[in-house]
Amino acid sequence: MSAPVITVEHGVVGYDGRPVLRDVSLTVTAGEVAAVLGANGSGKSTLIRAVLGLVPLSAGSITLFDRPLRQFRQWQRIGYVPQRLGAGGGVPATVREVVASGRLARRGVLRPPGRADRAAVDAALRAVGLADRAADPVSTLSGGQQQRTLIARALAGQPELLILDEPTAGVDAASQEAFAGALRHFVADGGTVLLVAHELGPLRPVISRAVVVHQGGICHDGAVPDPAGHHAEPDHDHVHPHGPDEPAGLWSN
Amino acid sequence: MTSATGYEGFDGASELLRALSAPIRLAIVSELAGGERCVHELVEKLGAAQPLVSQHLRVLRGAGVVRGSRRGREIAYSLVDEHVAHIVADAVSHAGEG
Repeated sequence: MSAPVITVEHGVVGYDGRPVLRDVSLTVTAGEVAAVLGANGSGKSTLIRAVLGLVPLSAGSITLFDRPLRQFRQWQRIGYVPQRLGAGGGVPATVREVVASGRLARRGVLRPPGRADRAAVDAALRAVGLADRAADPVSTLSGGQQQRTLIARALAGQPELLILDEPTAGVDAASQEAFAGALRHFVADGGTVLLVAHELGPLRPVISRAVVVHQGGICHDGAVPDPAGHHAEPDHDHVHPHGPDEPAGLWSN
Repeated sequence: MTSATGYEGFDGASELLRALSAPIRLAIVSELAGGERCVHELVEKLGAAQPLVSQHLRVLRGAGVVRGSRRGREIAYSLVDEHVAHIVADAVSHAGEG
């Protein structure tokens, strides 16, 4: 349970000399569901992008599964769902086809899809509650269902670590509940989750640890803080732009 | 461009090297040196999930290293300039990993 999956030590990221992450240290161990919280511009997405090797550190180090990031090659162990809108992109694909594409990184070039691939795709569709929509074109699904399709695609690759950037932003309540259930199963089967969120909503009971990022540093690491003020209202629309100077008190009460 | 530093001319090269600073992006450039590839081909070759490969391609596209063009249902990527492939090949050879 205690094996480190992600280790960030004194990580610094700067764009054009402007620091976005300053001296961030974080260890996520196997079985955790860690939520990185913070306002827009706080550096929370940059932290995730650094862990994935999408932005370079200017100082410090990152380790994935006991390998320095620079030497890490086993990317099929990591499932990633970036922040985005829609799964279709105008492409006429079915839900099943999109989810099945999550097997490609594991399958390699030569081997055709086999029983294990179909079983993984079926399990992923069930996990997000879309088994009955498998044959439908993705374009006919709601935004929340499309997001669930993308999460199923990541689950189909049978990753050990799932990294999600704003998985529930703009997603309907039913989809958020389905997603929370899928995460619970994933972790019960030994998975580890690092997700970035603006707000937790129905995910809240699944989160084992909250890491609050503010102005490029970690200002809270531990129990999930209570939402404060108007953000606590269930009908509040959280998908709005926040200024870069939003206080950390939003999360730390 | 009036500046006292005198090394503004290196900005573009610095940006390029930053885009090339991850092993998986060097692997993408090396693969594209062999010709145009669709995203799913890169995913199979690299063994990394498609969203991750797409994000790395975005980094390379942002630095002007690769460009994408629609090929049926997918986007096919190619090198904007073969010269980058030589830079990468030289770097790989220099680092003794070739």
